[in-house]
Amino acid sequence: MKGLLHIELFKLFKKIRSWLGPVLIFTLIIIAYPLTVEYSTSELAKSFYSILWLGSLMTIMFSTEDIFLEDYLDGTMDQYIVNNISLPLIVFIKIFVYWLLIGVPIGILSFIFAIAFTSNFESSLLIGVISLVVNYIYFAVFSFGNSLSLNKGSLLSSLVCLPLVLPILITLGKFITALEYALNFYSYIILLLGVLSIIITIIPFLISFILKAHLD
Amino acid sequence: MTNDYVLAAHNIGYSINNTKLFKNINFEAKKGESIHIKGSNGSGKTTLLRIIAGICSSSNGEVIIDEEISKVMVGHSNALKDYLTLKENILMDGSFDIKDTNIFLESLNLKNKLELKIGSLSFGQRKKASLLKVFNNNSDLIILDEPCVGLDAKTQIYLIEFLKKELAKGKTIVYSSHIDMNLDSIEVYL
Repeated sequence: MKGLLHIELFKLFKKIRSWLGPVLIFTLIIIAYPLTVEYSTSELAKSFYSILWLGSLMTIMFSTEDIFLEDYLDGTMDQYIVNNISLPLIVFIKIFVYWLLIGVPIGILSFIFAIAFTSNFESSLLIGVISLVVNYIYFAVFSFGNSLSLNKGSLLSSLVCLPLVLPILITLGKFITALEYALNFYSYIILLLGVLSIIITIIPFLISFILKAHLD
Repeated sequence: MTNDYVLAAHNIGYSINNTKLFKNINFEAKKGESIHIKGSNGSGKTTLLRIIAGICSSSNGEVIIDEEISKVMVGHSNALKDYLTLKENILMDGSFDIKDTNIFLESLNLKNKLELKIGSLSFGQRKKASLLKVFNNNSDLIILDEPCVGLDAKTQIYLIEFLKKELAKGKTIVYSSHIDMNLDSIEVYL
């Protein structure tokens, strides 16, 4: 597993455009947002979170477009099967690596931007952590979408999967409200962690089943 | 697996959209034997090789492969990454390192191409690079889909001589080719 993780990390790292591009796009969205509206600082902070969540959502949706396509087209996926390498393991590692090189920087940037917009370190730290959790969920859901229409324009299925992440967005909205009014927000964190644990367990098997069907 | 067969195919058939690509294909191969799959373009040679490799499933019949043996396959898709150098692709494979591969790199005239990106190599050079998997691998079952396509005459001879040595060592080879590779193979027609 360590070898596979190293290989997948190396492959994505070498494709600078694939991981740096989404991080830069996310940064651009957040930086450009206050330039396009004439809000006061307090109003800016209120709507900042929705831009933050939507920015990371859209960035991750586009960044997962070729997560499986390249290996499918160049025969690498065939080699995984010939060499008896577990497809669910490969899927898990791929999602993890994408999260590590794209999701984690977005999470860190979310924390930094949250400090800049809200001037509250504690809540910004929470936003950063929640962003890391939610980003992994986004990567898993959109990877699932991409696998569905692997050789027919994978972005289309990502769009189809968009409604699946709406409950996450609603939960995030509730979490922010609870955070702002000093209500109990831990239930939302536990809910998101619950979704994360289910997704980590189920999605690799679902996607590998779909990929095998494509290879058939 | 019983009666010394490494690979056995019984009544293999494959259909796409209710159209039969091939049916009732039977063959068996022991250690040191090779199978030459022959057929016209679109007859299903690649599909049959993919079924043998376990990549896809047959519509009918079954392929039985000794569970203890290891496989290597080189097909039309070469599993090489265009954005990585030849050296990085070799190292990424994990099953061999540059030192072990040196003799093959020299024979295939690829040694001075190690630092070049795969995307900048010619079709033939890429084919040679993908065949490194076979040259530097100790698998018991070698599956090759049109291995000579894109290779110059010298490399074709090198490959054929290598495969003959592998057969002598007791390896099993299944391949499709439009040219006769003189491997004294069992022929299967699609």
